[in-house]
Amino acid sequence: MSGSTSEGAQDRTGSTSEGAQDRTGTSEGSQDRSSSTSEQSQGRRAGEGVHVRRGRWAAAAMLAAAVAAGAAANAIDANFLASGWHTVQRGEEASDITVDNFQVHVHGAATSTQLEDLEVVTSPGAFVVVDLSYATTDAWDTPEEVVLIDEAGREFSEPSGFGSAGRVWPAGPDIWSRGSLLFEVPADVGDLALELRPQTPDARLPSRVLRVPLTVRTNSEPLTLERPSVLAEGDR
Amino acid sequence: MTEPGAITARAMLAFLLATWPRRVVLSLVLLVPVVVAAVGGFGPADPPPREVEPGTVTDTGAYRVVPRSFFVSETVDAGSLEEGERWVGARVQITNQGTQPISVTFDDPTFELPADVPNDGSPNPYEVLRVDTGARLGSAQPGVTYEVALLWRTTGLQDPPAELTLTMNQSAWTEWNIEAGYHTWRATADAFYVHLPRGEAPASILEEEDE
Repeated sequence: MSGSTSEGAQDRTGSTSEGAQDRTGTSEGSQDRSSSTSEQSQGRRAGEGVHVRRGRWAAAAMLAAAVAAGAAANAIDANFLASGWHTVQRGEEASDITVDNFQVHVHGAATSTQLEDLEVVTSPGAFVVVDLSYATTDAWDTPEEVVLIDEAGREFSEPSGFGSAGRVWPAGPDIWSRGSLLFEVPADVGDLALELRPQTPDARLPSRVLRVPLTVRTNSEPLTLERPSVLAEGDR
Repeated sequence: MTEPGAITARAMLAFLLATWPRRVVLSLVLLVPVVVAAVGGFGPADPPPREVEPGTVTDTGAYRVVPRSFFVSETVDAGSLEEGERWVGARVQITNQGTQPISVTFDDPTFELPADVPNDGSPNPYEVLRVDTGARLGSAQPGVTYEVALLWRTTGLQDPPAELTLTMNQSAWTEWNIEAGYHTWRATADAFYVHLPRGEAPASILEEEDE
């Protein structure tokens, strides 16, 4: 009991002395005001160097830092699309490669300026026919997109009007089928790679595609398209 | 209560207007819109379309185009016509200058029929046929030069004129605003127009006559 009373008295004494200090602080504040007034009038006469409180500098600096952080985030966002989960798997011809739910084996490709499709058609560029077989791992499925990509990064998709023989076909789980895919490319195209996309890549979802560089034979004869056929077990 | 010496808006304004040189400089700010208007900065946004000759190469952004001629026909093999409709077609040569195939009937703003030709669809072609195979073009592959017939269905042009004006819009490869990572050919304010002479429909795209 007595102890607490004495502490309380000490508290009061402490606060009283602090109060005295506060009052001293107030007098310092009045000194600030008088000094700032004189400096301010000096500033006006000189035309520069207005006296600013330290707190305002800190606020301005934080605001500038926030704007700079926002600008940096915008620049990164615009230039580096978040696609950390889009994978391009590199493969080779004449080997079995698994991408997502597809198992793929590319045999080769041939090019010519002419295609035999009921009648002989001459292309303004060149025709490329890719010979490949594929199967799935789980259920019957058809790859959503298969394109050719050249060194410059141009994409070539399936041309229209040449019937259904040169298009993608459905394949079954461990049921391999072999067929041909038709593309039409410009005559000056360089090295080509086949890109098989089980699903069309979407910026919001993970995706995996397979890219196989092609060795393309040049044919002088018109190319023909093979309809897809199921292979015996173990055949590719 | 703000303290004396604090920076307020009033203090800043008083500072800026304190001397005559400062007042003169500030009044020049008011002249900025006058200068911009004098230079022509407030002009209309769309530049006038430029005329090109048939048979010359035009760069429209998405394509290098050589416009050739136009034709009117009722026997083109591209779908069925309603009573009183006929096909109006423009023969052009197109080469896709982009890096991806362009679906000419789906998302391509380049070619437009003149507004005075009655057309119940969009001003962009209803169908595009290849002259070499007679089949649909589908997608124009990058770098491949196609001779095509752009087709529209119209109830007008019973008495076809000697010339038809085709509009070709300049397009730019722009990124989508809504989703990042996708690009598309979007029409800009620039356009070209060409007076196409009247010609014949290519035989390869006409319906075969029943024997």
